Amino acid sequence: MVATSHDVMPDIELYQPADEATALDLASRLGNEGWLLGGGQDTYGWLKDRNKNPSAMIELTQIDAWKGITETVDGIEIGAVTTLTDIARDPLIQSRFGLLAEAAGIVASPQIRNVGTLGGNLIQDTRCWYYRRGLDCYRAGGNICYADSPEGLNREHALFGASRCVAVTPSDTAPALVALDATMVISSTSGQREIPAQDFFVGPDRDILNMTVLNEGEILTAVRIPNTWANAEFYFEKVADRNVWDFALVNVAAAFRTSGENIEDARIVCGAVECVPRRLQDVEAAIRGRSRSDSTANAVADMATAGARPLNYNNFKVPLMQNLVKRAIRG
Amino acid sequence: MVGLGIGQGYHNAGRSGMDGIVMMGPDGRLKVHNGVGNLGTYSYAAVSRAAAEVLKMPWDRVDIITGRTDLHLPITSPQDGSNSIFTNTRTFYGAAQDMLTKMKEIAANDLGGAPEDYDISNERVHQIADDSAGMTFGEVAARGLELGGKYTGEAELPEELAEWTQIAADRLAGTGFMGIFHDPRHEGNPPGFTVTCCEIELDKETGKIEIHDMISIGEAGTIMHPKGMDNQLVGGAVWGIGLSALERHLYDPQNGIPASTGYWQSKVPTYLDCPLKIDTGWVDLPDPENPVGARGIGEPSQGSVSAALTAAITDALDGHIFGASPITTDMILNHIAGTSEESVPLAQNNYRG
Amino acid sequence: MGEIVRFKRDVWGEEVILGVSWDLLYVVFMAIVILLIAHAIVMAALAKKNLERPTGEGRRIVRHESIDRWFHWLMAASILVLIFTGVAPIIGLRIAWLDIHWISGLILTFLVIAHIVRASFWQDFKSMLLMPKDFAEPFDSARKPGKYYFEQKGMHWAVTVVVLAVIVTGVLMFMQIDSPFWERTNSMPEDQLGLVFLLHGLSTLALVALAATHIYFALRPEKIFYTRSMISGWMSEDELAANHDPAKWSPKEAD
Ligand SMILES: Cc1cc2nc3c(=O)[nH]c(=O)nc-3n(C[C@H](O)[C@H](O)[C@H](O)COP(=O)(O)OP(=O)(O)OC[C@H]3O[C@@H](n4cnc5c(N)ncnc54)[C@H](O)[C@@H]3O)c2cc1C
Ligand code: SF4
Repeated sequence: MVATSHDVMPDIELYQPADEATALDLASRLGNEGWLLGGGQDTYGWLKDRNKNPSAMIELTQIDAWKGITETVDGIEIGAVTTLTDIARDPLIQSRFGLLAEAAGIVASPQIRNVGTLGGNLIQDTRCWYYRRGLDCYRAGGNICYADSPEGLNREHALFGASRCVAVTPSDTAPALVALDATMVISSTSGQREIPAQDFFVGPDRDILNMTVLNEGEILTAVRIPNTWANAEFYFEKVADRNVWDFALVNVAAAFRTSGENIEDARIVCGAVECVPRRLQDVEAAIRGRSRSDSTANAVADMATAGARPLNYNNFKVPLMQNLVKRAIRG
Repeated sequence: MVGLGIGQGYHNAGRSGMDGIVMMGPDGRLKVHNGVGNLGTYSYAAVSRAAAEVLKMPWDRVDIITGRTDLHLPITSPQDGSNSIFTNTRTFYGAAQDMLTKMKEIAANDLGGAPEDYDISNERVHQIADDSAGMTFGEVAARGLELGGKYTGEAELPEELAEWTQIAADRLAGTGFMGIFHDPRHEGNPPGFTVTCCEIELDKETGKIEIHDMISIGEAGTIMHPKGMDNQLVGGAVWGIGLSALERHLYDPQNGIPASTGYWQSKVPTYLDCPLKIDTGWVDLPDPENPVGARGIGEPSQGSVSAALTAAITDALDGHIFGASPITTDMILNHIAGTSEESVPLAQNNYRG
Repeated sequence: MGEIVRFKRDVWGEEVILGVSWDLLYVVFMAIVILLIAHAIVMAALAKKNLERPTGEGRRIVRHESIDRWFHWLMAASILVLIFTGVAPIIGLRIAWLDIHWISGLILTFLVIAHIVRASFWQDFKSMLLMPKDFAEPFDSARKPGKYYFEQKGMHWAVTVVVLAVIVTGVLMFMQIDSPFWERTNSMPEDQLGLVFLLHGLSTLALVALAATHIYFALRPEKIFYTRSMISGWMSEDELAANHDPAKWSPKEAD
């Protein structure tokens, strides 16, 4: 029974497990009926608009084991329930993986960062406004896309990887974690699996209903960042309409290893241009052995957006993405 | 790229033809029956000061009766169009003048002489020649209640009172000493003017603008409340920034459904979208059509900022005029990239020139 | 199992058809598996009585020309790919199915068109026609058919109807997505779109059933020589004599 009244909170069974085992049990028992709740900053919007009506919620924020930042032998591990503010302010992250600190520190607004969790930020649903409005589009299980049409308002939508759905990843931390070659630790009652950040996100061609590989009953419990890119030269920039409390129109997260003048290796990832964080491997390969300069940047600008398929209103993302990649390379 | 812009804002900033009621009981406190709304600017209090000033009352002896129509409030103009300060200082000034006249009549009646021989100070009506010959306001009010008739609103009400005021006056009649006034129409159109200058930096790679410097100067007659004036100019600036650079009201053209639901999609400016400091200033010349010299300023300040910012963006883009607002990041980037407007319809903007 | 048709709300909040309920996929699949198993059991029970099978030895005659065999197998492959890619997302396989699906769909469409043209002008179209008198054939063991016997014709025409339905609705659906040839227009009203999805879904279900049945019979021992003939083109004169009436069908000899 789902309450559909607009005047009251929908009827939701709230579970607040205090330990991992109980949470995993609940997740497996409730399956799709049990909405996992981090800071709720994505969730409550859905509820307020009455566009999603979960019958049960499993709040994860009381599980201390899934919070905090710890140093490991070969890097760091961040609990998925750690708040974005904690991540942005953590001295270890700031000193070693400044890219993530910067990305986490520019998400949404201070209020949202204070409660929003890393897991929630990575797993949050897309912001396509048609979908958020509660329309039964492809992503909601329907048979139509309202955004990808000659008149659809798709200024915020995808340049790449569209397959019926043209929505984009909204997260600022996701590109940073892909750039840092992080690993997602996923747990369920049947054990644990680890997935590279890059493969954690799925596009509509493979799964039009979900944005990550998480299956029913699975919880993202931690993110591991190896030392591979620790203390590299980082670049993060996000362009949004507003300077706070707004999603990226395009963002870029990049890490460079240089020796002398030249780039030895690099990872460059853009957000908000595809349903998944888009890694620019061609560009990474092309700049190896070259300097972080204007000429290198200009030489690969077109490559950064090769294959882009702009929609009606998002042509601007092509130059914007090129410019951000250029800036990242120039440093 | 740096861009400079100057903009001028204008809005007719005042109306007339409303009514005012002030009351006083034997306790000598002035009650201003005030129907002005409060959109957060507290101008209902500012306009009540006109009545206090006429009667030379200390502010803590004044009660503003407001907030509910069953408190018997006279008709006032809605709190829009930057009119409140002009419109309602006229009515409360008039109502207090009526009360003052009645006070002098009662004093002359009881203490001898003509009303013109009397003046007020320190909440007393007294003879100009001998200020020991007088009555306190409380005593005058008590006397007015005894006399009744026009002193308590039971007779000789102004002829052109609005129906609404009439009802309020009828209900108040006999309950206190009353000053009541119908404001005749004024001549012409009281203008509120602002001028804004701003300097921006436009990033040609991101299409973002940053406002480095902004100053707005207002011309709104006598400044009743410097802090309020400053707030109006700064608040209007935030509004103008939204108008020119951010705020949108979008509809899906195929289905007509509104897209700008909620503050996130409407893109109201945030602190970080506005300059850290917005300088303000004013001319402070009394308006001849208003008894206290005041005029409104709310909307003009938004217009001049919007114009200045639009001009600064144009300046930063070598004179390109978009003919639409807001001018958003995407429009700037498309312009710089030379993407033709045919392929990028501007339908997602509110205003199209 | 619930409903057959799924509904959704259109952009205005009105209820419209969304498509077929995919629960039916399991129903159809299970039903067909049970039926075929039942058939296999019955056939096994009857098997002893008619043991004498025609031999594939001896002279050979041509049953299917090589071009027609190519048509058949390409169509078969594209249909199997279409079924697999169409069903994958429904059963929760995360693969990028859509491009493969529409490309196979286009291939199938062209093959079907080419086959129709060839069958109408170059092949013996009449050999496939299902005539009223053919309906007596299954009940009269004395009546031998021409090139195709009753069940084969029935299967062919059932597949024809279903494949045409899948193709027509599929092309309409294809026009609703971006493709290398056009940008989508979003011009089809949502209620019509739902109907198209429903018909596509229903014909898919029928196609799954028909494909399973067809494959089953193709693999049955007493019919396997037909499958061989679809691979290699020939059947023996013995097989011909046992199953067909030379008066109605006189194929040329294979070289
Ligand atoms: C106005 C506004 C502006 C915003 N701007 C930005 C922005 O600029 N950049 C940006 O990146 N984000 C932005 N956000 C999004 C916001 O940052 C995220 O919504 C927030 O970080 C989500 O975290 P949460 O813990 O509150 O998520 P929740 O709402 O609790 O969860 C979000 C989703 O993740 C799932 N989930 C949460 N934790 C787990 C877990 N451990 N395992 C499995 N599933 C899980 C939940 O089930 C839910 O589906 C904005 C949000 C708003 C409302
Ligand atoms: S872009 Fe995706 S989420 Fe948005 S309307 Fe289209 S299908 Fe739905």
